[in-house]
Order: sequence, then structure tokens, then C-alpha cells
Amino acid sequence: MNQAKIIAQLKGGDREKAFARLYRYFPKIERYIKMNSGSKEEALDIFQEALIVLYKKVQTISTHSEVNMDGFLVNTCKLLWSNELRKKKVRKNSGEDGLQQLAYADEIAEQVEKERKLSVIEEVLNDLGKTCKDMLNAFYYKRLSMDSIAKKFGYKTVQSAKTKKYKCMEHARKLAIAANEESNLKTSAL
Amino acid sequence: MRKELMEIEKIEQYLLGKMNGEEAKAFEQVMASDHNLAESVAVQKEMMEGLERVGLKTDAQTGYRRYKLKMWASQIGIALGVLIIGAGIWYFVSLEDKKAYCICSEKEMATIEHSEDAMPNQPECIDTCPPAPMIETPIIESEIEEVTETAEDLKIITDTILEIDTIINIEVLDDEHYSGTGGGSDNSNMHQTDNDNAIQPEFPGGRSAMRQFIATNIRYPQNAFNQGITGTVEVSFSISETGQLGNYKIHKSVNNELDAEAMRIIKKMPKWSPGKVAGEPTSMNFILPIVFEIREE
Repeated sequence: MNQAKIIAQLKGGDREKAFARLYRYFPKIERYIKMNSGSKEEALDIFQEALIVLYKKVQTISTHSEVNMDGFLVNTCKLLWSNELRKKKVRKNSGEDGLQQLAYADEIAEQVEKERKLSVIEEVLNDLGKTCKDMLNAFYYKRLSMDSIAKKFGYKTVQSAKTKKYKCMEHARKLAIAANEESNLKTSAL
Repeated sequence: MRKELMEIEKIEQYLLGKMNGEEAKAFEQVMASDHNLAESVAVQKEMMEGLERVGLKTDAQTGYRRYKLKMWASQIGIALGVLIIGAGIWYFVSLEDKKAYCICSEKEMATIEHSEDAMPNQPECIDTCPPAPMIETPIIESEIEEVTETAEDLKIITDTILEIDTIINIEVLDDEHYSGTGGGSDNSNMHQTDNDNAIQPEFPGGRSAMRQFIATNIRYPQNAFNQGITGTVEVSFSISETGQLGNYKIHKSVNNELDAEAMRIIKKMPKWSPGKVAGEPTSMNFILPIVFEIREE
């Protein structure tokens, strides 16, 4: 379909619409994962992760680039699912060689690893409390101005909203450092 | 604002690229010598990426909901399409039935060609004609009038609620003058039933049981119904001393389909109780008329 339009939507703010369009590839992935001893829920998780990887990829290219989104998504899902299977120890090394040959394999693997590390931060943000999480999301992800954030969250002045935002970031940072130390301890214990 | 918070603000400005070139350079120099600051920047950067990840996940979930809604909507669309096509066929079929009926109520036993020719002259039939056939319990001739009255009453009701229905009457006329008539002339060994001492053979359970039997088993032949063919088929048969039925013949024919259906029903009947003459079981002939009629209510 209209690939350039999806890229434009992913680069502009219309991520939800772009994702809704890209979900038409999901049935294919669902079949693939179900055929490889997975469930629909797992397929949904894998596909969602692949959408994030694709999003990051799209941020690095121009709107008119020729990217086979379908192929990129499928390859990402294959790599992600192979990782998942290895984690589950269902399959040891079989099929790995084939996956190295996939287009964008290195690029995808790199991004997948980045996202895996970010899942620690994801947990930190979930522990942060709703107001802080929403506020940081509004500023950093939705890129709302501090004016509108102050109004939205009911602060009388922009400055007090800013202060709250920095306090939230401070709190989040502390939680993240603690979480990193914990995961480092776990890793070294292993 | 506290010192720590001011540091966070600075890091944010640096990471979002809001510092000018000189400021950024100066900041990077401080970072190079200040390990703690460098680590804080790294964590804050990670936090921003984590926020993006969480936001993207939420958007992906919203996207999935939209996708499912779209799929659902398109499936509903397909279902509606089928429904409309289905209704179209049903309406078409029912219209055909109406034609057949209307013509036949005007000209009995009309053929298809006749009905097609006559159609344009009788458009009013289409409004009142029925969609689906059903079979009413056959009735005895003596009861027809009563039932017709009921039908008249029903018509008023059905017209008001705009529910048009057809009733196909398959009537059984087993009036006494039919039974045991001239059959004797065919078979000299058969006794005439006008003998005063004669007792009629009887379907087990009597007339009402026979009506019930016919009503539950008979089907109005589809082609005959579509073509609006109606009429009375008379089937003659014999009832032996033991009550066994035999010698089935079409005494009066309407068309092959209706004859066959009437014959099928009679042949399906169980043993009758035999007729008696002077108390002795005797074989007798019997003619049973079956009326095929399409009626509108």
C-alpha cells in the first residue's frame, strides 16, 4: 500500500494511525509464531516490539526511502521470536544460521538489544506513579509545551509545572540507578 | 529551585539540543571531567528513550485496537452484504410465489405462460400475496365454510400488521357419497356399501386421525405450488377383509406431481379397520379425494 504515507505518519505525530495500518501484517506473523510453538499473546508481544524497532528505523531514513516494511517487520519478528525460543530453551541453535542471512539482520539485532535494555527503564517508569509518568510522557514523548502541560495537569504557573517535572525526573533517575545496580548484581551472580 | 533540579534542567536542555554550540561544548567539557555528571546524563538519556518506548507501546496498543475495530467493521459489512443479498433472493422468490398464486386464483390451473401473460393486468396481487408456503391441517368438506370464515377474520388481522401469509389447503373430502361408490362396478366381488347393513371401513382412529395423518405427511409439490396448480386428486383403493390396502388407482387426476403426492400419502397409510356387511369383515372399494388448494389469508 502507500508506504510513503506510513513513513510520513511515523515521522510525524500520527503514530497510532501508522501502527493501525501496519497491523494488517499481524495475521501473517501470528501464523508464523503459532507454527513455531507460540501463542497469539506471544505473537502480539513480538509484533509490538517489531513495530517499535521499525519506528526507530524509520526515524533514520527519509520519507521517500525504499524500505520494504513488510519484510522488515517479518524479519524483526523472526529474530525476536528466535531470541524468545532460545530463552525458553525450546530450540537451541537450529535455524540461527538462516536468520543471520536476513535483510537488515545486524541493524535489527542491534536495536532489539537496545530495546531489551530499555525494558528495565520501562519497569522503573511503571513504578514511578501515574502523575509523574504521564507528565514525563507528555513532555518527552508527545512533545507538548510546558504551557499546555501546566494547564493539563492543573498547575498555576509554568514554573511550578517545570519544577514538578524535574522532581519526577530526579525520582526516576534514582529508581533507574537502583534498578541497574540490582540487575548488575543479578548478572554478576549468574 | 534546588541545585539538583537545576542540574536536571541543564541535562535536559543538552539532551534536547536546546543549548547553543558554545553552551553545549562547555557542558561536554564539564562532563568529561565530572564522572557523576556524565553518569547522570547517561541515565537521563536512557530515561528519555524509555519514555519513548512506553509511549510507542501505548500507541501500538491503540493501533491494534483500531485495526481490530476496522476488521470487525469490515466483517460486519460483509455480514450485512450477505443479509441484503439473502433478503433480495428471498424477496424475489416470494414475489414469484405471489405471481403463481395470484394468477391461479383468477384462472384455475393456469400454466406458466398464462401467468406471465396475465401478470401486468393484475399488479394488485403482488401487494397481497404471500411469501412462504405452509400446510394447514386438511379439513373435511363440511367444515370448510367455518374455516373460511376464520380465514376472513385472519385476513383483516394480517393486513393490519402487514404480515402476509399463504395457506395451502390440502383437504381430504371423505364425504360418505364418495366412499364405496361405483367401485363395485369394476370388481364384481366387491360389495356395494349402500347396503343398509354395511359398515364403512375406517382409518384407525377415525376421520380426525386420518386428517392428522395426512396433514403431517403431505407436502405441496414445489413445482405445482410455483405454477399455482391446484385441484382435487381422487385416489381409489381397496380395503381387504384384514384391513390391508391395495389396488391403488388415480380415480381423478390433476397433474402428475399432485397425483403422485396423493398416491404417496395413501400408500403410506397403516391398515384400516375393514368394512363389514352383516357383521362380517368384507373387502370394499374406497375413493378418497385430496384437495390441493393454495389459499391466501
